[in-house]
Amino acid sequence: MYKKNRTHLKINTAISVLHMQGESASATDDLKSRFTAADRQLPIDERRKSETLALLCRETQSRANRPVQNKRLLLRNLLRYTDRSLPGIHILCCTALPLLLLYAGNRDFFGENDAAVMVFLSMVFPCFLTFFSYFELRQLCLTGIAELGKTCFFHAGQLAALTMAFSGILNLMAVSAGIFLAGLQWKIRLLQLCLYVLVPFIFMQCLCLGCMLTETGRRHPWLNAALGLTLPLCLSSLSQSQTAYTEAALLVWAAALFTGILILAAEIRIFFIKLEKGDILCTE
Amino acid sequence: MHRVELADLNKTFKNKAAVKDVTVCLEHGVYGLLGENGAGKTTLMRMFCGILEPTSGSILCDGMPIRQMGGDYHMLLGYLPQEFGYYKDFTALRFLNYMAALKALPEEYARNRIEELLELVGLQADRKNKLKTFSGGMIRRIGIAQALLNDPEILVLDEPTSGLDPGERVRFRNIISSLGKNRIVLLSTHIVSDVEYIADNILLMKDGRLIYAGDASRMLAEAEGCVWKCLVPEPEVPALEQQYMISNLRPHASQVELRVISRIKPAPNAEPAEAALEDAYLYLLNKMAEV
Ligand SMILES: Nc1ncnc2c1ncn2[C@@H]1O[C@H](COP(=O)(O)OP(=O)(O)OP(=O)(O)O)[C@@H](O)[C@H]1O
Ligand SMILES: [Mg+2]
Repeated sequence: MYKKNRTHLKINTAISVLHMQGESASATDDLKSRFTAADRQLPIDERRKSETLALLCRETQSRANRPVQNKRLLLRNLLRYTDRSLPGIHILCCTALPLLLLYAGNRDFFGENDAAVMVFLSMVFPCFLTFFSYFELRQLCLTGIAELGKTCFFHAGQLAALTMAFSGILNLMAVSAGIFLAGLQWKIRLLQLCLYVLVPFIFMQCLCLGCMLTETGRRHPWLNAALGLTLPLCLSSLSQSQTAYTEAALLVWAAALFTGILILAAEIRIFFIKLEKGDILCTE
Repeated sequence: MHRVELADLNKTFKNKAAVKDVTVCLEHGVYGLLGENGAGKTTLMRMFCGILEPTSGSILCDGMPIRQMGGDYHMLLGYLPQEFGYYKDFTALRFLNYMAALKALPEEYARNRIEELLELVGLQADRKNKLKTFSGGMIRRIGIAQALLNDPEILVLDEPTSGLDPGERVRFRNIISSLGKNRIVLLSTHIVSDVEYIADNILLMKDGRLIYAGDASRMLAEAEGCVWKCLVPEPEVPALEQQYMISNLRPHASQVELRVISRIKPAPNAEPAEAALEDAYLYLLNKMAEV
């Protein structure tokens, strides 16, 4: 801005100097005629002129297939043609979770032990949802779509980020709805319930993404599923213990959540670095 | 027109070196990348496309590192992987539309281009069919069509002709040679005759190294005088096979006609024969093994 103003200032001064000298009109006319004369002396190579024209035409033609600049349009196009079967089932399951909790709450399903069972269930369900995220990511990265994608405008990193964001947000929404409903019905403190639900959820994410990072994990998706199923077992053994769900243990839960988030963040970072390098896409 | 330079390119997987010290410069024209299984062709092509990061070395497009160019480089690219991924439930049309969306092509342009390409690869009749009902050759053709979607200036095809029948092969060869005039086409294959007629340049890889880069006539000249034809009784064949590289073997009455690649005369009755590109390929691969 400052620079621009200064140039303006210079030009204005030059003009006013010319004005002051009272020869503005004649001076500019003189300059103009000199330029035209000089132009006339420049030889124009007709061959090169037509070559340049042809080059320009070709360039404009090839610009016809340049990418669309409108990001919104791009995204709309991508979503329109992208595969929707797995995400569709994912959305269904995510809506089913809060509904199921509501239904169970209204029916007084588990009698005496209601609250404990519900807490247990609302811990296990999100873990189950995590599998969807995992398989969506697998479908993208390991079936070769991403290898193809890496040579396109939307590269693999963006596609993976889009997939992760989609399934992450979906899962989080389902989980928060679950927490809210469970908390409301069984009069458990929300913050406390949050910890109970989020800790296994986050650890499950860590487990799944961790599997994507290792060659063995990528080769054997069912190994991951088997590992994942041990988590509910751990949880149920935890629920037998007297101290795990006391207020005193809350600090331990919070620490666990914090650690889980740190691990997950590190894993996401490594994942994207590996994706960029091509290590994940190009398994033999 | 563009110019892509690979300099001292290396790629090591864990402790296996897949590509070693490859230095080559590609300008417009068709480049045929030949090599045995595991020679490192796919790895080289993946690095060329920016899918795989080299362990060391650089890839420059018009003097600019391709990592830095990012999306700009991808806009120039069309790539057909050796085995390409697709959603099995997609129809041919939807798959091409999806790829066009990934390549960020304008809708109108994509629609016309897809029709053109479906015709080019002879799949208009199957455009509404699901990819899971396609044969291997049809999938290959769809793959070729998606690589050409953005009218790429740099086209990289990893074994494009594998699974194609002879008629399709010829058609494909014609498409490629017409494309190669003002762009870079890099295609890999095991089949020498695939590149014999269309490649302006041949790149030969062995054990990760680039052992030859140049045109076909120079490659033929290298093998000149090292190809022999001879008729031998059948029992002698195993011994000769042990000693020499045999490029062809044809029963001929009670005897066998052999085509032998060797720097010395393999048999008293052997006559020199004119080298074909396949002979030259075997000769060069073998020469490297001897060294
Ligand atoms: N992702 C990977 N991880 C580990 N090793 C790999 C990987 N990709 C390739 N290799 C190894 O690198 C070497 C070269 O493989 P590459 O696929 O490039 O060969 P190629 O010339 O394409 O073979 P083919 O003709 O069979 O396709 C092989 O020995 C292979 O085992
Ligand atoms: Mg290969």
